[in-house]
Formats: sequence, C-alpha cells, structure tokens
Amino acid sequence: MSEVQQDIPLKARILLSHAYFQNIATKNKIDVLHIKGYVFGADTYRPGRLSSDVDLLVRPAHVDRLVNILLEDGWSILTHFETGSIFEHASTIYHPTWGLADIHRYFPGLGYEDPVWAFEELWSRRRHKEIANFFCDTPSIIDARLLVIVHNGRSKANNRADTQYLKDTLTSEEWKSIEQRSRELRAELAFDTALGNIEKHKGEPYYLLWKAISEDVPPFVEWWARLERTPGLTAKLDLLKKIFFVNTDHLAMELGHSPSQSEIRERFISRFRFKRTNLS
Amino acid sequence: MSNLLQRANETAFAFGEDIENSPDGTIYVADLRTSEIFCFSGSAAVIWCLLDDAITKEKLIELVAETFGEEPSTIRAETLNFVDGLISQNLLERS
Repeated sequence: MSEVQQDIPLKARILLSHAYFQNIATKNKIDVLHIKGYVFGADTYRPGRLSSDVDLLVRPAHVDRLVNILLEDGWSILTHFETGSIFEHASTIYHPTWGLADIHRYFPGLGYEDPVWAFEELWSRRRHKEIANFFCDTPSIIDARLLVIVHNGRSKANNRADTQYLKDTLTSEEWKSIEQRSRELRAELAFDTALGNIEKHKGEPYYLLWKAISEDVPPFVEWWARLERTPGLTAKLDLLKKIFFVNTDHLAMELGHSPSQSEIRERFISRFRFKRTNLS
Repeated sequence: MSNLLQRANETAFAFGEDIENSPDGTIYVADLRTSEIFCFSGSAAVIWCLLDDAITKEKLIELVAETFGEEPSTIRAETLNFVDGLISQNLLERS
C-alpha cells in the first residue's frame, strides 16, 4: 500500500522539496522566494519544460542563517558562493532525499549595487503559489517573467528559448509591463543582453561582464571584466587567486570525490601545459 | 482528545498525474520534518485524498466503502491498519 523513498521520480522530489524549503523558511522566519523551475511553471515557461533542481532567492541578511539550518538538516555544499560562478551569486547544495538546490544571495542583473533593495522590490510584490499542496512565496508573474529573461542574458544567443517563448506568446501590453519592470529593477543591461541588444549599453558598468558571459570571448576578457568591477586592491588580489587557482568545488564535482593535494597540483600544472601547447 | 484526524501540517504531496513516467493514481507524500518521501498507490492514495478535511475513522471507513462500492465491514480492517500506520508515522494528527 505504501513504501518509503524508493524510485521517487525527480520531478516529485523537486516539487516536494519546494514545500520542504518553504516549511523551513516559515518556521525560522527566513524570507525566501522560490524562483524559476516548476514553481514558475506554465504562466512563464513553455509547456513540458523540465527542471533539475530548486532555486531559491534569499533575503541577503537571512542567507547565512538559512545555510546553517540546512547544513544541520543533512544538506552538504557542492559549490560555495565564491566558486559557483563568475557572479558569485549562488551556492549549490545537495540532500540525499531532496536532491540539488541553488541558494541565491542575489540575482545577477538586478539592482547590482544594492541586492537588499532588489530583494525587497521582489518581495513586496510576491505571490503565494501552491506547489505540492503547499503555499510557497514566489515573485509576481511580471517579476517571474523578467527574472527568466534576465537569467537568459547569461546564456549564449542560441540558448535563449525561454525568452523567445515569452516574446512569441505574450501580448504587447504584457511585454511592455516587463520592459517597464526591467527599468524599475535596474535590470536593463541584462534584459537587453537577453534580447541581443547588449551594444546599447557599451561603456556602461558591467557591460564587459555581460558581454563576457553572453558571447564567446577569450578568457582574458572575462577576467578583465571581473577585475574591472571589483573594488579595492585586496579584493582584486582575492579575485586573481580565484581565477588562477584551481576551483576545488568544480574539480570535486568533476572527479566525484574531494580532490587530493596531488590532484589539485596536477590540475594547476595542466593549465600551463595547455598554455605552452597553444603557444607552440 | 478529538476523534477527528487530519493530515499533519508539515506534510506535502504531489500527484503522479503531474509527473512524467509516474503511474496514474500514485501520490508522493513528504514528511517535511524528517525528509522522508512515501509513495502511496491504490486504496492508500484514495484514503490520503479523502483526508482533505478533518474526519473521524468511522466516517473515513464509510467514505472508502462508498468509493470502492464495498460494505464498510469488508474494508474496515485494511483502512484502520493504514490509518494507524499514518498516525504512527506522524503523517496524520488529531485536530
């Protein structure tokens, strides 16, 4: 009649884990917005679109507390905020029951200089959406659609199907409301990048960063873009270490185990080999 | 203590119909406190659905019998056995 945790489909785990996170958030008075994936669903994405994890945007002041609670509840960190991406915005965590989740401490492309303000903007218009028969906090429909487009700005031009779907299916009024919201949330650069119009922003702060992430450019352009937007010598040196030292989180995922010192050393040295090969 | 039973607050559930490659009539139930997921099918899934509102055991037996076109006495033992299992797993609580 019933069984426990055998062959539970991925989608079931994901739907139920939204409820899990909302329950944790509510019990601990942590402000969390469920973003992307199945929680956005059919009012934002094309039918049948699959998802592989849960994404949460957390009020910046609540991030550390949430992560600590999750670690105590059986989650482990796969990538840290500092090593997850060039935006250093999300940490990927894993639980044997629930699977993968990305904890966002801010959303790249929205209100860069003030993630607290950006979260509050989204939070103030949030809706409660039922998922797995549990009410979860998620951005308004307009904000959800904007987040999807802004997120697509981080993809290469041939991988922006979600934005194209919205362009093809929304009315002009609906599209205008998203454009308007992109200005209110100071997200024009990411928004225009997703639409292939990044050159409208040439010379602006973060232009090079979005150029580097959305187009095929040499690695040094990305490094320069990151350095350009990093204030202070100490922070720049820290960034250089991150760029040139081996990302042990990513290496661990690649190897399937925590890398040994010799594996880290081998990876570090292999970069020089690659460089010599290129020069020869 | 009340005789009314209801689903525990810290549970969630998803229907197999919403999930690709999942048999129809299946319900995945999660205990959000313990991170356990249970898979209910057949009469178990029906009983879980009938627990939408707080209900007594006797009323539940009556509804299960009506759903399956059986006499209450025929399904009584199996229903009570399942409900007691839910209570012992803390998936049901008294309202």
